[in-house]
Amino acid sequence: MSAPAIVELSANIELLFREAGDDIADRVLAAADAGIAVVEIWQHSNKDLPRLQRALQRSGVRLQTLLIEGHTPLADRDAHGAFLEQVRRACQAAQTLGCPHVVTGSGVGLPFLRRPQQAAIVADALAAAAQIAGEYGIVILLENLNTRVDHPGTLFDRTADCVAAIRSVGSPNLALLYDVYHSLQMREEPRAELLDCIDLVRHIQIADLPERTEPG
Amino acid sequence: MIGAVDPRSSSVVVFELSASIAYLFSEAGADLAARVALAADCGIRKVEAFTISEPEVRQLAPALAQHGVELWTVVADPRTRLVDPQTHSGFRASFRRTAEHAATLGCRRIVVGSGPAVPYQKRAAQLATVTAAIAGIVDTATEFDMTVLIEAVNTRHDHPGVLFSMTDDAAAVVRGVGSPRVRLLYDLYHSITEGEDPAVVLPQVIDLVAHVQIADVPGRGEPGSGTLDWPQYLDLLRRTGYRGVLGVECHPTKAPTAAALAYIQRLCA
Repeated sequence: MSAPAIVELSANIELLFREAGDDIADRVLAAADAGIAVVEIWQHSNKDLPRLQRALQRSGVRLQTLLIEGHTPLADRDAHGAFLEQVRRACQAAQTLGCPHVVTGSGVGLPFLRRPQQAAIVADALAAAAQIAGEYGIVILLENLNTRVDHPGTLFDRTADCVAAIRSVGSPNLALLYDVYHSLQMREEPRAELLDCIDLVRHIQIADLPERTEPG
Repeated sequence: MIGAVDPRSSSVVVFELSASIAYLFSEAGADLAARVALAADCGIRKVEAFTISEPEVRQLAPALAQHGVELWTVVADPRTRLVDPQTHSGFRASFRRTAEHAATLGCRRIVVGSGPAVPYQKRAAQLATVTAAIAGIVDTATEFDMTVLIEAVNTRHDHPGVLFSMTDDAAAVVRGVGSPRVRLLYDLYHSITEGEDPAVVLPQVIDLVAHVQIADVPGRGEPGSGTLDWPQYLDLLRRTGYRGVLGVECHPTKAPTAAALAYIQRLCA
């Protein structure tokens, strides 16, 4: 048996350190006080970015991820223009904040178009997005969300959906966010899933089941 | 009965078949009356339609009477987003029109799906909203003597984004409404395509099942075109206690449709 690898934890400060108040910069400082060196946020457009940037610099905390906003259904080709605009905004914010990754899901599926066709349209959007991310030196993380409990209707609800899209795009600016909570809610076997895709995994998120609370 | 794989067991399984005229007999063209005539030529006595418009009602009525064919099911508008309560009054109105059309054609079963889900609300809450929508059509179903058949369809291949993707979703709504007017349509193709094991799922819901539809996996072709062991699945249906009609809803891989149906007709005879 090898010694357990040491994994660095990052904290989503939209959900955690709420006791520090509504100001995201204060939550960064609270995370730093708790010994957390890496944090994640969701939206950037609702935040005072210069203030957040100063808090990150002062505390030495690194921002790991932020979201590409808009919840765009990437299976809808007509929505790709709006999506790519959101990709650019997210990459600009990430660059400002020294954040290496921006996160997106697939958006919802369209009930009257078959999955293989939708997956191909999503891959086209991601290929164009990865090109934009490359201009900023940012990596897009594609994440599948569980449909069984939290996000019904989402197109990419299994790890394999994301893996297939990332492999078909084949860009260094597109990687996988593996969320253990979502994977388990879809009744996946994490050991088997990770073996298939560990080369694509750039970030892992965790929460406990069944209620998406802290581990333990 | 000796067991699921006993080759002799298939000979005792007798199911009546119905044929989807939305999918089958397309060699007759778009005219549903011509498709009914071809179905009757194959010895099919029950057919199933998709949504039906007023002109289609006029097409179908004389053809059904002439050929002695019964319209077994029609489908209520499957695009209504029942997870949105604001759609419910419109849904009740469109369901009433469907019930009127069905009654005109002597059809007593209306298939209802969930429509698309929304990604920002938990499944349990969305199922509760859809349950309320279905409860809202029970009076109309009673008035027209219709049974509402709740159907889950697969998201893995055909219908990504719908709410009812697993049999459990549809069964939860049927149980939640708690009316004999609202029953389950179990579609073997959708169930297997979504990753379910019918041998596990069917016994859990058989008390709710009022209709079963079939197609082969993969490809949704006619039974025999894919990899499913049909004698075994027919045996499972029989052993589980299903005694109703089997609706063939598939894209034939052979022409004419009569040739595509020959295998399942032989198995069910």
